[in-house]
Amino acid sequence: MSYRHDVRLAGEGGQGVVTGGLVLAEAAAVYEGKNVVMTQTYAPQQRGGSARAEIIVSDAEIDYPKVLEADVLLALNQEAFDRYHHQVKRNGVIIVESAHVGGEYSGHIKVLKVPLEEVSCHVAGTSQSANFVALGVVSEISDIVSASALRAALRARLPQQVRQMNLKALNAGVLLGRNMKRT
Amino acid sequence: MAEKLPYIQDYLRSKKRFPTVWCPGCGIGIVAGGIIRGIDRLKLNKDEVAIVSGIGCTGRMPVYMDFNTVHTTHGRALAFATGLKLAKPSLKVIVLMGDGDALAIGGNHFIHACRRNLDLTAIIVNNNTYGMTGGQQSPTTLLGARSTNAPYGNIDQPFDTCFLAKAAGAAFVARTTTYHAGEMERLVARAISKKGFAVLEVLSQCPVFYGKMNRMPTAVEMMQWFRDNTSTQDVVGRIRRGVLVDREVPEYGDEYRKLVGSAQEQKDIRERKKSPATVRLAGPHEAVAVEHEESEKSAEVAKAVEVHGRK
Amino acid sequence: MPTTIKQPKQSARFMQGNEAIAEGALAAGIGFFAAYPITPANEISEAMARELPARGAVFIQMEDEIASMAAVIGASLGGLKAATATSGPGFSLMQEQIGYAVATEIPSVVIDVQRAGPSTGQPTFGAQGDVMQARWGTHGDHPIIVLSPSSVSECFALTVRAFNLAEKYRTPVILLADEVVGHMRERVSEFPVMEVVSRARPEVHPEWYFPYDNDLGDVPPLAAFGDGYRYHVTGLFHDKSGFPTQRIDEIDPWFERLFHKIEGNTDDIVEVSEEGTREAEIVLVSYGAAARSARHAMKMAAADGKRVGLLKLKTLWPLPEDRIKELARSAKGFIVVEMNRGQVRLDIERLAAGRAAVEGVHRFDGEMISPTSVLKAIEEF
Repeated sequence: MSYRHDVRLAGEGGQGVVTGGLVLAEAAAVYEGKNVVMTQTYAPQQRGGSARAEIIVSDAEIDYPKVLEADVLLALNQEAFDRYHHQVKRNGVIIVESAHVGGEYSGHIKVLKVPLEEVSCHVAGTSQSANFVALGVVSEISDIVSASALRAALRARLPQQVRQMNLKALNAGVLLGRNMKRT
Repeated sequence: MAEKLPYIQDYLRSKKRFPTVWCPGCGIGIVAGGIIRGIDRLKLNKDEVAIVSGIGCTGRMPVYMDFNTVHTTHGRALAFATGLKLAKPSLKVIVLMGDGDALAIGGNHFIHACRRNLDLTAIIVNNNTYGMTGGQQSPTTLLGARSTNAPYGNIDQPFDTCFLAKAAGAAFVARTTTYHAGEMERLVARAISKKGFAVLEVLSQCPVFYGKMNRMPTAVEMMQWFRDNTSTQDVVGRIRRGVLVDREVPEYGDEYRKLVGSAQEQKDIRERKKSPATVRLAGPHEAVAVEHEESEKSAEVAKAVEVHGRK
Repeated sequence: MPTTIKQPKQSARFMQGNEAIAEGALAAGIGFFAAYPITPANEISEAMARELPARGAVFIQMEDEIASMAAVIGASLGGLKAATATSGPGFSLMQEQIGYAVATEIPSVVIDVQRAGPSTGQPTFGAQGDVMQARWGTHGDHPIIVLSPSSVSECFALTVRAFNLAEKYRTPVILLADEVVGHMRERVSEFPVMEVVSRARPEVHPEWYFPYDNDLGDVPPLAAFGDGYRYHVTGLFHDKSGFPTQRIDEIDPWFERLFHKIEGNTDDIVEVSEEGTREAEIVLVSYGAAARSARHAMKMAAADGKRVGLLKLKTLWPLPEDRIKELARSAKGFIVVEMNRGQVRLDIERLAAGRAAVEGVHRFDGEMISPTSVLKAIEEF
C-alpha cells in the first residue's frame, strides 16, 4: 500500500516557512529518493504577510500537489493555526510556536506547543532558526523524512554563514522530538 | 539603349515596387534619396544593411530600398531593431519612423533606446502629422495648428524631438530638413557612422494635409518655410539644424560583449571550484560534534514542551 | 551518537517548473531572450540572465512586454532562436506582435505563466484564464500552436517542443504554463536528451529566393538578415517575395498555406496523454495544473470501481478534434476540468455535438480545483 504524507508549514514572511519547506522537500526528494512535490503561497511582500509551504511526500506518483489533509501542520503564528488546524488528519500532528499561538485547544488532534524560537535562541543565538528546530521535531515524530537527510539538504541549500546555526537548531529539534516520543 | 542608370538605382527595387505610395509633393521621397546617398557615401555592402521601419507614410520607405528590410508594427520599430542588432551585430541597422510612430505610440521605446545606447541609427521624418490616416495632430504638431482631429486648433504642447533625444541620453542628435538635401546626405552618413544610438530628425512636408490645413498648400511653400525658419546657428525664432549632440557614451553592444566575457570567466571559476559531487558533504564527525555539543542544553529546554489535545 | 551523512540519490533533482522551462529553452538552443519583470514568470528571466551571457547568447530586459516580443521577433529575423516569458497582463500587451510573427512567419516562443485575472488579479495565484487569449488574442483569423505543461518534467519537454515546433513551422508557439506548475517544485530525474529542430535555411541563389513561396510546401525556408538574401518583411498581406500586395490571387494561396501548415500537420503537432479512455464511461478532459486534480480524482473514482478516463491535453491548440469526436461516440460523456469558467469546455461541447454529455468543473479564484470536487462531479454525472 502506498503512502502519501501531506505537510503544511504556515506562518508569516520572514519566518523561514519557504526555506524550511525547501530543505524538508529536498531532504526527502534528493537524499531519500522519494517522490516530493512542493508548492508555496506568499503575499507580495518579502517580509511580513502570510506565507505557506505545502509538501507532499509519497512513494507513488503525486498528482494533486496541494495538501488535502495534513499529516503535519506547523503553525508559526496564530493566524496560521486558526486558518489551518481543521485541515489536519485525525491521527495527524500540529506543531505550534508556543510564543505566538495561545489559547487552549481541546480538539481531537495532537497539538505540540513548542517554544521553537526560545530553543533557537538558546542553541543558535537567534530566533531566526525556529523553522529548523521545528523540522528537527518533525523528523523524529513522523516518518516523513530522516534527520540525516535534513542535515544533508540543509548543508547543500543554505549559505555557509548560516549553515552552522541552523544545523544546531535542527539538531536541537531532533532531541526535542526524541524527548516528546518518550513522554 | 543600354543607358547607364544613375547610381541611386543600385539601391532601389525600382523594377518591382514603383510608383510609390506617397502623395505628390510629399517629402519622404527626398528623405529616401538622402538616406541612400548617405549610405552610398559610406560604401556599405547592401547585404550588411538592415532597414527597420514602423507604420505610417515613413514606414513604407524600406519596401523601395534594396537592403534587408522589415516593415514592423506601429511604434515598435526600435524594439524590433534592438533584437535584430543584438542578434546580428555585424549589421548596420537603420530605423525609419515618422513623428507619430517614434514619439507617440513609440515614445517609450524611443526614450529607452536613447538611454540604452545600442548602435542603431534612428531617422525620424517629422511632418507634424499622421498623413496615412488622414492628417490628425501628432506629438510634434505646433500649438494652434489645425488637423483633422483638431479643427479648432491644436492645444497639445509639442515635443522637441532633438531635446527629448538629448535628455534621454542619445549619443548623437542632429536635425535637418527636406530643403537641405546636401546637408541631409552628410548627416545621414555621420549618424550611421556614429557608434551608439544616433537620432536624425528630418523636418518634412505634408502639403496634402498639414500644409493645406495650415495655409501652406504646396510643397514649395513648405520647403521655403524650412529654408526661412531654420538655421545652423542659434538664432532666436529659428529652428536649429545640424549636429546638436555628439558625445561618447558606452555602447550597449560593446558593454554586453564585455558582460559575456566576464560571465564566462566567472562560470569557469565556478566550475573549477566545484567538487565532483554536486553537493558538499561534511564528514560524519562534524555533525556528530554539533549534535553532541548541543545535546545538554537542548535537553533542558525540551522539558518546556507542552502537549495538548490527543496524548 | 550514530549519524550517517546522506548522499544524494543519483541524478535526482528537485526543481521548479519555471527553472525547468529555462533549462528546456537552453536545451533547445535559445540564442536570445527578452522580457519585462512580472510575477509569476520572473524565475525564467532570472535563469536566462544568469545562463545566457556565459553561453555568448543574449539576455535583455526591455522597457515593456510589447518591446520584449518585438525584440524577440527582430532577433529571430537575425537568425537566433528567441523567446520571451510573461504572465496575463504582459501577455495581453504582446498580442499585436504575436500576430505580426504569425503573419510574417517568424519563429518565436512566448511563455505565459498564467495567474488569476482579469486585470492585475492575483499575481501569486494560479489560474488558466488565458486559454482563449492564447488562441484568439491577436486580431484577425490566424492559426496558432499552444502547449500546456502539467508537471516540472513536462515544463522542460514542452519548452523544447515549443522551440522545435516554432522552428519547424515558422510560427510563434505559446507555452501556456500556470503559476501552480511554474512555481511548483518536483523531484525529477535527469531530463531526456531531446531532438532539437532548427529552421530550414534557403540554399538557392538569392535571386531565386522567395521567403513566402507557396509552391515550396507548407513551410518555405527562412533566411536570416545579413546572410546575403535581401528580402522584405511586412505585416501587410504580402506576395511570395514578401512585398505588400492587394491581389486576391496572391493573398488567398498564402492564407491557405498559413492555415494548412498547422491544421494539415495535426498528427505531428497535437500531443495528448490518455489513461483509461478506451473503456471509460466518463472522460475527464484537462490540462496544466488542473490535470493534476483531474488525475487524482480519476484514481479515487477508479478505486470506487468507476470507469473514468483522462484525456490530458499537452497541445491545447489545435485541439485533438478527431480524437474527441471518437470519444464522444465511445463514452457517455466528458467532464472538462479547468481553472477558468469553461474556455476549453465550449470546444468540447462543439465537438461532442450532442453525442455525449459535457459537464465541467471550473474554478478561477486562484485556488486549485480540489480532487473531491471533481469526484463529486463524477458521482453526479
